[in-house]
Amino acid sequence: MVNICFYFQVHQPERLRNYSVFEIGKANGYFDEKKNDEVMKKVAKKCYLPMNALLLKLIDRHKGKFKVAFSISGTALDQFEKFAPEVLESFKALARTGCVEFLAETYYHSLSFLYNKVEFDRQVEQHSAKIKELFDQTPTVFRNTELIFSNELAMHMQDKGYKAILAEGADHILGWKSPNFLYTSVTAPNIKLLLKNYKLSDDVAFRFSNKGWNEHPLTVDKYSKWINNVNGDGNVVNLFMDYETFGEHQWEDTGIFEFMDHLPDELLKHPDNAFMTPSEVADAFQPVGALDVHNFVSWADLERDVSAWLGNNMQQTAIGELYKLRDAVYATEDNKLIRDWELLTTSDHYYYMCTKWFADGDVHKYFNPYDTPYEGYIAFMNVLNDLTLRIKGGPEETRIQLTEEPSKILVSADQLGGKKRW
Amino acid sequence: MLGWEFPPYFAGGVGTVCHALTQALSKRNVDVTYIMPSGPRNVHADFVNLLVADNMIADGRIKIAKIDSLLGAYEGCDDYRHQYERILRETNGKSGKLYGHNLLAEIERFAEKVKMIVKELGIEFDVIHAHDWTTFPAAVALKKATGKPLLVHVHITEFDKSGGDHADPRIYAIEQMGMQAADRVITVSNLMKNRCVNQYFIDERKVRVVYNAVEFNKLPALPERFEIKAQDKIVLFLGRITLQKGPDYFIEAARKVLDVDPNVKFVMAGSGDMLPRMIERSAAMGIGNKVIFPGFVGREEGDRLYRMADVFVMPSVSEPFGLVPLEAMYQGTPAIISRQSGVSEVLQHALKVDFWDVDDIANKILAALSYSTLHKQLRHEGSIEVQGFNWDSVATEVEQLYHEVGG
Repeated sequence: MVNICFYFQVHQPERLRNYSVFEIGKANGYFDEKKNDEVMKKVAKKCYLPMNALLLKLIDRHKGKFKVAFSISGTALDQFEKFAPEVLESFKALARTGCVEFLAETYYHSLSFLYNKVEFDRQVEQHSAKIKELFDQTPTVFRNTELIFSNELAMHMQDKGYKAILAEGADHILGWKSPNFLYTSVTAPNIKLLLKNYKLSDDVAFRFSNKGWNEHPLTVDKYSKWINNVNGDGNVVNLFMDYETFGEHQWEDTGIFEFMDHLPDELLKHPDNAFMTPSEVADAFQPVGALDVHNFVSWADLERDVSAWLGNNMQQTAIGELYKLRDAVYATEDNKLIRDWELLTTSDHYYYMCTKWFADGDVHKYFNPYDTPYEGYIAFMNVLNDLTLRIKGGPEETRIQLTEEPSKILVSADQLGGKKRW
Repeated sequence: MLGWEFPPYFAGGVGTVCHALTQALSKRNVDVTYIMPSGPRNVHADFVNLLVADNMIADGRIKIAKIDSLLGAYEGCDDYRHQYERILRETNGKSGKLYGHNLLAEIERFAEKVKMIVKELGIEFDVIHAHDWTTFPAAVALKKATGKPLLVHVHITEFDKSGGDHADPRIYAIEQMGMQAADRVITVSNLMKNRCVNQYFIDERKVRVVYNAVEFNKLPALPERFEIKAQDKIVLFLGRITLQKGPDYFIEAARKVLDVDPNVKFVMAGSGDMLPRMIERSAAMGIGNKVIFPGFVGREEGDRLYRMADVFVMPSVSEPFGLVPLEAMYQGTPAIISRQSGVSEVLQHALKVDFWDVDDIANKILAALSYSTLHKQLRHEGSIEVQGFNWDSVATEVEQLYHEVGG
């Protein structure tokens, strides 16, 4: 039998404004509320609302046999509340069916696991609390930002009591092995790994409307056959993709909604097939082997590594400087300041600074609110300079000093009114 | 190929382009005969059959029976040339003075001469390739006489030179006539393509964009120590100081930068009709000691200035292509370029601004000066990127177009 495990990633960052050097010291709002509102409303209309309605219909039609999982970042949830509350309501309706599982991730869709484990734990807890509050579920399966995974993460999440982690079924970690089985980690034998079947996932997410693809058009019939072919040679087909695939990356007129409308019918015609959520998969099967993933793997770009966020010096400088400010930020106990800092941990800010356009350029450009990665960096560093002045309690002189190492401005704890908690 | 200039004579923008393009075409075994109206006797290039119409006639290689009366004004033509050069020097090519009645007459005369030269010398060719409006009457006459396909190459239009409002209707008419008669119109950017389509009403299906390139005939020089940089960082403007190049936005941005960081000097290299006003303006703003005006600089000096500068700014109001930022980047200097330039359509590793957004220009200057990682990244990526702007690929595209029109 083949089990089909759908997981959809829902994320929207809080995009920064083009914060100018002349605003440093003025503590103007960092985020582009107008743009964030526009994007949210647009994606809600094209994707979240129609797709949630379709999933609800499918769950209803198949009387509990159709199931999916979501991971929704905290920044997306916050923006639903702020800009599109009806989307949040539709997710709550899906949660009430009992056929939808919500996964754990970092609240801010951040790279905190790579920079600060204490911050990482805080963000994961913050996210789980939010999921519990909104959907009355406590996540037991974890997926890290952009499926970033390594042995170290497996160990860490095992210690935190998670039963499974989602990861990319990248060739270089699987070798000859199939992604259609459950694995574990050499460093964390109790954790179960669900690996993305990137071929079958990307057939829908990336290739569905590609007329240059020799399998175009992708029909329900054809796709179901490919999935059924796994029968006897695997336990589960993990179809992991961005939720925005439906209606936003693949527009409505490509027929993507009709495809999803009929896919469960076709797959469930086969009596051995079933839909499962990640935690059900983890409970149902035993690992067939242990993977050794020393270096970080992700689902991004051709490299399947973290170079999309940390591949150049600007990205590393920006994120490095941000994390250097962390302790000083928390020491201020200023909730607005802390929240602004947290929102800067969102991985998208670094993704916008990526310069390795040429192979994966189209994808990067599509999501980039800036003309060039340099503009993303300038806006970010200007914000960081402003944030540093806020930590200090405002500029001491009329003249601001623009620096790429704002942490150095924080000379001693005395400047923070003697708070030495960090 | 028909052009108005060729280095070292009138080594302006289009002349440089023609030089580089004919050289690259010859490497692809395309035989080019280049005819220009006038020039020094010793002008020569081994990769192109270079014909200077006036010299051919003066040397008696061409018999000029038919248009004696017109060419009787040959002395005047020479005067015209001197005048042309003088005005070029003084105004740096601002259109109003430069293109008067004399020039229009000269253009018509050039058309007659070209027809004769081609006929008398029995020059064989497959395609006519004409650069900018001054050669269009000659090109169209030649097309009519021979039936050969015509490509007109639009480097700039009257709209760009005049700032859009005071386009000379006579020049406009010649430009439009050339584009209409052509089998293909080559433009140096999408900006120019849209201009041809929207302002000259040319069928966009026959317009092709071929971006310019840069001639890198030598390696960037070794790092040099500049005394001026002991205390200050340098921001450079290099180009004609005319309305089209947006020098006033550069000065305005300078003041804003200096409000934040006084240890910056601004170098505004070039000459032009707006130079006096720029000097006055900077003095009036109290930054006279921070802005340096070295006047017109040659290629060597220009390269040194690029190397000296920490950041280069091209705030052009309208720029059909814009070679200068590529030259700056080649010398390892990050560039800030206006989005209203053709080159910004293709350049990835430069900071982009709207020419009128002085705050953003200042913001980006300060960022490039203060954020060293940004500076290094731009320098590194930029110097790699400019290598891609080479004339061999331009020649390949042009040759492709020759074949397209049946040449």
